[in-house]
Amino acid sequence: MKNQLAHIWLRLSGLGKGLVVLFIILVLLGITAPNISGPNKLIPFGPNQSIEQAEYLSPWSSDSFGRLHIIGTDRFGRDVLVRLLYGTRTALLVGVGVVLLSSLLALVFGVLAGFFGNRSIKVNLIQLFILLLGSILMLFYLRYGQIVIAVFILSITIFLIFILRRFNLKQVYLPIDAIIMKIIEVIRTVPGLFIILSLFAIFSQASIVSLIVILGLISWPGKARLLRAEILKVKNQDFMITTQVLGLSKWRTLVYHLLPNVISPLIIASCYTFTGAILVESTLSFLNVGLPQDIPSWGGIMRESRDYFKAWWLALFPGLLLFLSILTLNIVVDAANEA
Amino acid sequence: MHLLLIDHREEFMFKLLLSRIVFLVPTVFIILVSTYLLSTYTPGDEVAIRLEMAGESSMRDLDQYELAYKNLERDLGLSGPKFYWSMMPDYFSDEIIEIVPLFTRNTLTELTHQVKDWTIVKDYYNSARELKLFVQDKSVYRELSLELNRQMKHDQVSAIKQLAIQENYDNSLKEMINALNKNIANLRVSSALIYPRIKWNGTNNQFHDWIKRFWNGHNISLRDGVSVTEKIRQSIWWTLSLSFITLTLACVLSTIMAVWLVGNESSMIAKVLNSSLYFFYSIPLFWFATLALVFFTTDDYGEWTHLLPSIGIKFWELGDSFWGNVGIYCRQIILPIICMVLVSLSYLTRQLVVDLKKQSKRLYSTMVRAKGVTPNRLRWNHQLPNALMPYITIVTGALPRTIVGSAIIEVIFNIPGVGKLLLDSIYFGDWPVIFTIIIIVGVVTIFSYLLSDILYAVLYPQAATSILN
Repeated sequence: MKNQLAHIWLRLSGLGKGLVVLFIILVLLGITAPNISGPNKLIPFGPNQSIEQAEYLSPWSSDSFGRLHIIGTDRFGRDVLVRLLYGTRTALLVGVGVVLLSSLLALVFGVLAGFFGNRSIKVNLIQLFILLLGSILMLFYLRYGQIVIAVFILSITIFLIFILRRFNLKQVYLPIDAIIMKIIEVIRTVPGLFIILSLFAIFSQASIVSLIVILGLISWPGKARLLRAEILKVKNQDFMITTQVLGLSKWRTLVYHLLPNVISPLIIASCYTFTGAILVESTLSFLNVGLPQDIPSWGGIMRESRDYFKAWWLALFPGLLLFLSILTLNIVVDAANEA
Repeated sequence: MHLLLIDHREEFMFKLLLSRIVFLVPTVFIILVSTYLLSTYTPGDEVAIRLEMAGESSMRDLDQYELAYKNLERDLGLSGPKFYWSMMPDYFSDEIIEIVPLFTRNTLTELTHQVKDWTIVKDYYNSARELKLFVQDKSVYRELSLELNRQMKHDQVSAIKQLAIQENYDNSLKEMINALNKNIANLRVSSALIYPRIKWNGTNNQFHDWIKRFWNGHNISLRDGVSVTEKIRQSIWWTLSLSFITLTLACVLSTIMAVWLVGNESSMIAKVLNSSLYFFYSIPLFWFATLALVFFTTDDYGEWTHLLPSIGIKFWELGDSFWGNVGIYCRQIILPIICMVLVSLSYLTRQLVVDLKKQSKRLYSTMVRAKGVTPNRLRWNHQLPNALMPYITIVTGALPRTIVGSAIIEVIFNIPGVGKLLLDSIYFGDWPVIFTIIIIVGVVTIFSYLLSDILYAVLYPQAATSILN
């Protein structure tokens, strides 16, 4: 891993290295935003603090209290620099959250589809039926608040399934690969941004968490497919056959031998998920349907420039940060792909 | 395998189409069901809002209001069971979903889930309703009537009791209040064991009605009462023409540029072009458009930057000359199209360059060159058709993406397309329009994937086997 990072760094051009350094500084500034801004701190403004008679100050000008606004102020006299830093925080939170959630889902489904495939999970139809019935009943009791009974039904279901394993019932293969591929295909045909737009229109109380959950649920299929393809490639190589010959358990093979070999494409694809997530987050805020207005966001700052075209700094700087982040990640991904 | 495919090409095409369409049906169904589920969770009471706009109020005459409510609810397709089947606890009764208005129904449902016995709740509801009916036409008791309306919940018994003590009521009213109090006293939270009951509702349900109305185009916008079909028909041409012009321009330009770039890799212009493509590939579309809007459509930054007309599409006016109108349209649409083309162009060109380079490594390229074909001819006539295979997927996949992209552009440049309609409807909470647009875009997306598969199968039958399998 350390080696690979060094390799990527060496492959970057001068511009690429500069951008990566800038990006790391931006991330650090975003993480430390509450520590360096606020009353009596390095930047003496809060993210939602309006200063009187300081509306639309242009960059590098001072307000009536003699305090410098490096990137000016917005319509309500709020310091843009602080808002940009807090916006970075929001973008990072959304990006990292979506990457974690979608990677987890992609890992589970990708491994199920690729490693287990159509011919390794055997089920008995009776067991399957019991499982289905049990989960419907459990959901029913959970919905109507009888949690104890729900837990009881869950344990009975599990007990029955294990008991039935003792009998030699006729078993069929569960085509888990085919099922997952169909699910992926269905999700991929759903137009993402439109769904997100409408979801946020309906659940008007949007928060960062709900944004992460929705984006995560939409963005796993591509990665799961990638992981499945990678696993299928590696699965028939000699070392995998060796693990079988040595009699290693499936889990050991999976965790110690297969996953380390297929994880790097997943990490690279996660960079795309990250850029996609921060792009969607700022697009939504720009359209004023995403996060509430009091959460600072790059897109939200950019939206304000549309009310007043003379305030070019409101349009330029948030987009510049977004653009530089996306550019940096794209350059890194390209370097990683070549390495 | 090749020969076999060519022999049975038609049969094969038929099989492919069939498998796609078989897949299409559940996908469309899933989109419909999930959109419907979303629509049932929309906040607010559509019927009550409309009744209020029509001047009906629950304060005047409860009987009349309930009747009007029921009629309107039926007309809007909001009455009756929600889906083909329902799974409710055994104490639940169908009588609850007949109760209007929605607020009362929801309160009673919640109450029933706590008490776990519909008959007790029903007694309470009946006595409360009776009391309300009795007091509503006497102006003296207007106060009480309002109060009871708010106090359908059993935890506020004391408030009602106090009201009864405060005023000097006649006997029948006193009896009613006593009956109500007795019924309220019966409402107790129960923890009895419940059993699920599954019921088949048949086709007489809201989902079925919803689909039927959608199919017949009977949906009406909440905002201005205009038919949704009409609204979308007016706006879809903008979106379609924008997307079409953008995609065509981007495809043609990217093909020319990619072929040229592969041929003249080492020239200075190619290097500059390559890096600028990379930059455009990373530029967020809405930022680029906003910058163009801020800097090039106003006089704020000097006379010379005002290159393009201000935003806002001027509608066709009678009396103006035809070509004058066309000129205005073209001037106004030029900036949005430039923004969209630049962003999709960079993506398409980069992909095509990669694919063309792959083709150069293949043996046939060397073979064709060895035969004395010029490099340019090799690229255009031999490599390009082979490199177009992944390009088809990208372009057909770009179709829905262009529609979404045009939504952002439409909002920024104030073009009355589907995207702007969607955003405006979202701000207004105009659900019928929103859901119709979602379904239309979903179906367009599915069909663009279908189109990509068919093109694939026609142009590259050998690759199509992998699609089918």
